[in-house]
Amino acid sequence: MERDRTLVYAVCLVAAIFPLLSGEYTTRVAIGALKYVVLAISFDILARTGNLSVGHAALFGIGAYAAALSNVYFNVPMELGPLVGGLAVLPMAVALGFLTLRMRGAYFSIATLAFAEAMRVLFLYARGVTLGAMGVGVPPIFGGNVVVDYYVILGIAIMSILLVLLLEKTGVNYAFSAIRENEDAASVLGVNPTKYKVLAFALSALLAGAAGGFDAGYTTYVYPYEAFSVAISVAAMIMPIFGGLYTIEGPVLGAVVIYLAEEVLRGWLPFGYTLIYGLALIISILYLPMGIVGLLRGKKGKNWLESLKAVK
Amino acid sequence: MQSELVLQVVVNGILLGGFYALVTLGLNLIFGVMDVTNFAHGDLIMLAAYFSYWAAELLGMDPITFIPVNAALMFLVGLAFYRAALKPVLKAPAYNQIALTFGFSIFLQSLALILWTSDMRQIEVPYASSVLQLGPVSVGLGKLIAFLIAFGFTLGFLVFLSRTKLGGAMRSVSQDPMAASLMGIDVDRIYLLTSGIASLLAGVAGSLVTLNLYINPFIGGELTLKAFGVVILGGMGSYLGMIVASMVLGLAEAFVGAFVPQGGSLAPGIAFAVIVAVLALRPKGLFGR
Amino acid sequence: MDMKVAAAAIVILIVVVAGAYVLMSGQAPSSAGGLPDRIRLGVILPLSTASYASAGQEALRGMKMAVEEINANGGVLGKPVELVIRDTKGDPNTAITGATDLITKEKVPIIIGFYSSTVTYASMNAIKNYKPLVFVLGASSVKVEQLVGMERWFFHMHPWDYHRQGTVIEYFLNHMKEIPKKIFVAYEDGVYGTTSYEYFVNLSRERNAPWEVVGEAFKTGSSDFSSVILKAKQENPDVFYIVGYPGDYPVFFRNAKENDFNPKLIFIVAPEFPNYPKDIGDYVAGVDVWSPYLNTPEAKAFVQKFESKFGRAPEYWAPFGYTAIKMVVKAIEDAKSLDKEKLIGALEKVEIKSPLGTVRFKQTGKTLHQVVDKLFVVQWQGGKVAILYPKEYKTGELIYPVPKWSERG
Repeated sequence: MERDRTLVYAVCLVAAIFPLLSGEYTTRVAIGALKYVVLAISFDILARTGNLSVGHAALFGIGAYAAALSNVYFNVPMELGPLVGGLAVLPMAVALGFLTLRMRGAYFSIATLAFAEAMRVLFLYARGVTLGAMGVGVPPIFGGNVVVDYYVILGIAIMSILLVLLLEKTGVNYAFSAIRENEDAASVLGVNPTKYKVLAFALSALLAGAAGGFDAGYTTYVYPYEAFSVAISVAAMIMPIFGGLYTIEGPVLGAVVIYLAEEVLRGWLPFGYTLIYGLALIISILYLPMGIVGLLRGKKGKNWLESLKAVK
Repeated sequence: MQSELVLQVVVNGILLGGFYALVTLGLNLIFGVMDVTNFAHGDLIMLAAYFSYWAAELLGMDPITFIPVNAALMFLVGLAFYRAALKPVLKAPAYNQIALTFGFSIFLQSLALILWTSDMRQIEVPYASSVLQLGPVSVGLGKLIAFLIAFGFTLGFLVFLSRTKLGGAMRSVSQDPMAASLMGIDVDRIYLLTSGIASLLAGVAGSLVTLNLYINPFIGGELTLKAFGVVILGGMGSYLGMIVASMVLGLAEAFVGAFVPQGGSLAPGIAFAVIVAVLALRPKGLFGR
Repeated sequence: MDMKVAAAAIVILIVVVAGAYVLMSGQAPSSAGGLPDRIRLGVILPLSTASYASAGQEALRGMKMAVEEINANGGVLGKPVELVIRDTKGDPNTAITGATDLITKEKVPIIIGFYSSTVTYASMNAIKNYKPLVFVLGASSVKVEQLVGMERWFFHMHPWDYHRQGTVIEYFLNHMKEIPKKIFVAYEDGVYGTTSYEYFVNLSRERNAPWEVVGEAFKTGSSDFSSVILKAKQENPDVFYIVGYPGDYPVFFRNAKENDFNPKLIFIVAPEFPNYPKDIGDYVAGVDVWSPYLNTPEAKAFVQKFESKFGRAPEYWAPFGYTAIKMVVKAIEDAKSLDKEKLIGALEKVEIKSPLGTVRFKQTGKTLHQVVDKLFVVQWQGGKVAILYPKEYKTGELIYPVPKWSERG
């Protein structure tokens, strides 16, 4: 505990002064990593109810578009982008939560993947509203000051971590786990699956939408191929799994490690640096059922292979 | 002009549908027999397409004459794929199956990027751009050949499933692995062969892809989703449903493309919309088990 | 981890951030006045994305050829020239990070490159605070022009949309035996295709062109365009005009043949890719920024050199990359410095003979520094390119209407 605390302080200190110690390029890399920290936590919250989303780009993209289009049509400043993005995705997430309630396992994943793709097609097609493939150009958030950008995304990341802490403190997380382990048993115990699943979807969407809203102002440009790209969904899924699902530090670690690894790998594998994603996922499932966190804590975790052998 | 056009669109849609049926076959088989959702299915097709491209570039082989070789190669890939990606998660929760097969999907894509870069590749065969004029309708020879081979393999496979000993064993394993095992069927071996055959069918589909289309390492993802669309519409594990659903999807894409303004950019979304809509109404698919 | 720890951490964070803010001072990147021992030029291009990579790689080939030549002749101001290359992956985020890297970390005096309008727009929007010296090779969308066209630090090589569509309309109106009555435009649904189409429609109206225009968007990189072809077939146009990327055209031609679609002319953008005679065959016409069949000593020398190096004719972007490096190096030589202001002054005056003809920067429309503003109209005939327009370069006559698919060998 004591060591944990020291570590947390140290990490906070480094995070707080990071842009002042480093050049602009490294700050931009850090911003990229933090964006994925938020997405990874967002994925993890939803995964806690046993739902694996392979279409997180949908929530991210709609958030980005909401921020950009509200700037174009109503002159809402991009500084409010994260808020606009997060709130805009909420009603949709609640609706999606209800729609996907009864889907189990793979069907849920297929549906989310298809939904993200469908969104891309829709946003390309509805040119009258979304400007289609022309994309939407917006003024840069905080005048393009990279240091300020860094603190904004850091703030969103910290709020995401606090949100998970809150879930764990209030016992909501217990309800999530119960639903994940056995939905029928959970409802017998008096946990209302509908309520909690929709809640998980809403919170997850809030964070993904906020990340999207930030990204719109940060890159100053939103367009369908980028906002709804499978690459975003893939990263949002793999980072928390590799880091360690259902933990606080897992998604954070996974996002930072994989993002930096990708940045390095891109230098000497211009084609195929995505290998890192595939390998991370395969290794996680076969050898690291609890991700990096499980490795660090020295916990075996619940290895499905082990339990399988026990059955046989 | 209008009725001729409708006829032409119908023909294009059916040709597309036949190809979709073959694309879906392997995915459907693995789901039916093993109850595993394989997110890497389209990437196996992509891999086979590149084998076909390599055979044409390096050995000057025609994609059609290469089909038997490609099928055999992909059968071996399928055996390896079973050991690496399917066996470890056979009875595991859906989460592990999705994550592992998806991991292999990305792995195969990256491998293709390293081996062949992201450039568009195409095999030039003289007959691919020849055209048959059938009354008011014209049909590209390449597309027609692809359709006939796809249809032939689909029917051939269904006959194999219903008429052979191995097919029978596969059917009983898909119905009840426990009972099949008690009847003396080696379930693990059946699973292994099923993965091989599913991959072999992906190999044929991959060969046909190179007849008509440009290929790049990312074509697999879209094919996987289209196959999911077909399976969800026609029912997981149902073969008749699959053929009907393939035709429906092919025709829908052809009609939207030709008759809706800017339909060309809307057509690819049909499969996605079908998946979302069907699952929202029937969470286990239209004819789900 | 408990709430107390978290709260304490947040407090520390806020204190540090506040302190940091007070201490922070604006550090603008300064341009170096003295000469380093190597002249390092920033290059940013899409080098690893499906639809854009081949163009980026081709531009890079041209650039490297120029650098080799310059260094073989003793470099510039007695120093060797070196390219610092960044890949955009055809993605705005990566491009912005790469450009920032070149400006702030590598501190290069100028960035040369950029290809697609989309990525260029996003990058210019993000880095315009730095007022970096950029020489943009591609990006034909006026969206980019509206954003930075009048900036002193922005230099642009490729013609804008209105130059290209103006050339096409001028040719259809005044240089064909019969003016087309109906033109069907298939355009890719990105920034480049969409703005091209809008310009074609608006300029046609402005010039009172007598033709009817029908348009349909498509997604670049698709493997089947039958739906667009069938729509066009219903309209029965005289000219079928496709605005897409190089990979799209062979697919269009194959689908046109399959669906027996026979307009009097198929017209495309940038038809001079060496593999087209094989992929597409004869009779395709189009508008191009340059032609390897140009009859000038510089163009011939460049083509010959490129062919001996790569075993094929250069494509669209190679002469652009080559000429850009030559212009920049000449300006450095004239300025005798890498100082930004001096370099801008020298670039504004630079004039060299190049494969693209005699090039210099001039003001056109809403751009302060523009290189190419005239285009060519060409047609493949018997496996070679005939230049049809402008008159001073003309080497052949347009074949119109072209033979039907069924009449071809």
